[in-house]
Amino acid sequence: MNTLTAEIEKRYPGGTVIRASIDRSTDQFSVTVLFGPSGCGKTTILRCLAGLERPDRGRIRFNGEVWSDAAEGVFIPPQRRGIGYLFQEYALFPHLSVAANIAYGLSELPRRERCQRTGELLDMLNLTGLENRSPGRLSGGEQQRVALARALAHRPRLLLLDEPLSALDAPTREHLRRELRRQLAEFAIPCFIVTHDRHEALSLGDHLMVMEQGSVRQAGPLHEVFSHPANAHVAMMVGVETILQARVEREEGGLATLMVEGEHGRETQLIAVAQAAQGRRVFACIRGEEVAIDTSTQTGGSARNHLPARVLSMDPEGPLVRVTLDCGFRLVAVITRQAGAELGLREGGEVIARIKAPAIHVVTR
Amino acid sequence: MHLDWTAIWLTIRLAACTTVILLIVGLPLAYWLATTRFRGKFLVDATVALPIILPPSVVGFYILWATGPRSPIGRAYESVTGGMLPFSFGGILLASVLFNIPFAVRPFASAFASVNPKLVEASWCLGVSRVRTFFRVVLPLSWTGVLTGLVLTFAHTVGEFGVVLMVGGSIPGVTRTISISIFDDVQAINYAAAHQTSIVLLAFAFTTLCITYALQRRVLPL
Repeated sequence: MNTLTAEIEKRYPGGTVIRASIDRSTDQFSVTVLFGPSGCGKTTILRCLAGLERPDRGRIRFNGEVWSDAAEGVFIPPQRRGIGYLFQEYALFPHLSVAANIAYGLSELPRRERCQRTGELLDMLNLTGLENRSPGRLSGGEQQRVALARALAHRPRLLLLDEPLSALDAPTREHLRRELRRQLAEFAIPCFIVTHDRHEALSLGDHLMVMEQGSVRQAGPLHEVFSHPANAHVAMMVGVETILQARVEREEGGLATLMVEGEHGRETQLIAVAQAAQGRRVFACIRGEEVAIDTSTQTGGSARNHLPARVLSMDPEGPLVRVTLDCGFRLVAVITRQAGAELGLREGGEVIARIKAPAIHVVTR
Repeated sequence: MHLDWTAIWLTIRLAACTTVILLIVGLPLAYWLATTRFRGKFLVDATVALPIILPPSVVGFYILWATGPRSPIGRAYESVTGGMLPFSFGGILLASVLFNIPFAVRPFASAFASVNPKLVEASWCLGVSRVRTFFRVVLPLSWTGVLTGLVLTFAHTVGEFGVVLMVGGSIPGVTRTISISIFDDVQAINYAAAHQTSIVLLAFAFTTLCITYALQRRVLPL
């Protein structure tokens, strides 16, 4: 089995130390997300994998090759690692056309093959017609696709993406987030993506490494880390919200009916504002503040979702209480202490959780 | 017009040779200065900039001292070529190369420093070697700065006086450049000849500087 294993330690003058250990299979397509606030060291780790930074300690092995071993003094430069790197601001060569940018790493290939491969990528990434444009005259989204095409042209064995969407304006980013995962899957290369945006992490990743202040706080399958943060710190970083795996049952006029797979194999229905095709797998994200708790079973009112639930636990946090509910799935509500007292909430008690449809954020995969 | 064509031809040869040598030596030195993380870089920076503030007589004196027949460099040169560096074309060429280092290297280095380092890294990640990256990415994006450095070097060599006089003296056809020929004319109270040569040099200097500034402001459609 092919793997990427790395123990990385990088020290900076001034005492900053960045550490990470990575162990990922490289046999099939999977996206590992390095997630954390800016300055947490995630880009440094990516640059160490690329060979753009030299770790001060530890070693990096890729499919049996040693890429870097500080103790043995081994260091393979980026040119000989067979990687693709997508820079945050794309770093397109301003003096070359779109086609020449994509073909840049292919100068060893015969002309015909070079043209053919460039053409294929232009086609796959929807760039046909822009071959002769200069990068300065492309939109942000087009630049991102050219940079991706260029990184993929020489058939890398590992693709490294540094904040691939952060240089884009919000609507384009929203749109390309969905596109990018599909495009990456098409090329079937194992990927590492650095991001500070949780929605980006959710829509792109399979595996998540949460980083803070230079070290990895938690690593594991994406959904697991998001729904079961190891500690309050990670919970704060990934956001206090419920993240549910769901399937789009039907969609009508911008209102989607989602089926949430519960913990006991039971499915629960949720109404959310989303435009997603029927059958699509999605994540439904619900912030604790958006969940109202009620003891009367009366329906009506503006909320579309009324979920009978049982109180699993109550954790006071200052003036607030985090109430964990079981309504077929685990749902976290954040309410004030007074509200909790007035409702007479207690562990094991039966309540109704109410969520407005627009408060459910749907992230498509 | 009674221009000193021997001196003009010699000056052009000297300036051209200096420029070519500094192109070959200066590009790698400047690129290293622009990209290194070496802590002692300031020492190299200071050394490179020395000729800007040092009097030409000091530079000339040290070159004479270092290349004289009793110095190791002078002896080695003599055993290889059979000649001497002082008072020869080779000597004034060496002097003007050393004296012009900052006029070439500093514009080169500032042009290289303005190239986004991410572009260089992007090229490395695409499998292209450091040297090829320099020629395919760095140079195409900084050539106006490199050209500025070359033009300044050429012009500065044409106008050089002190170092050349110290190291080369004034041997017609060997070391007597235009500026020295003007000096000799003035000494001989031949003001008419001095005027003619000076006006040519003035026109040349002004044109060169116009080209340099136009290049920097990208006025010229190059």
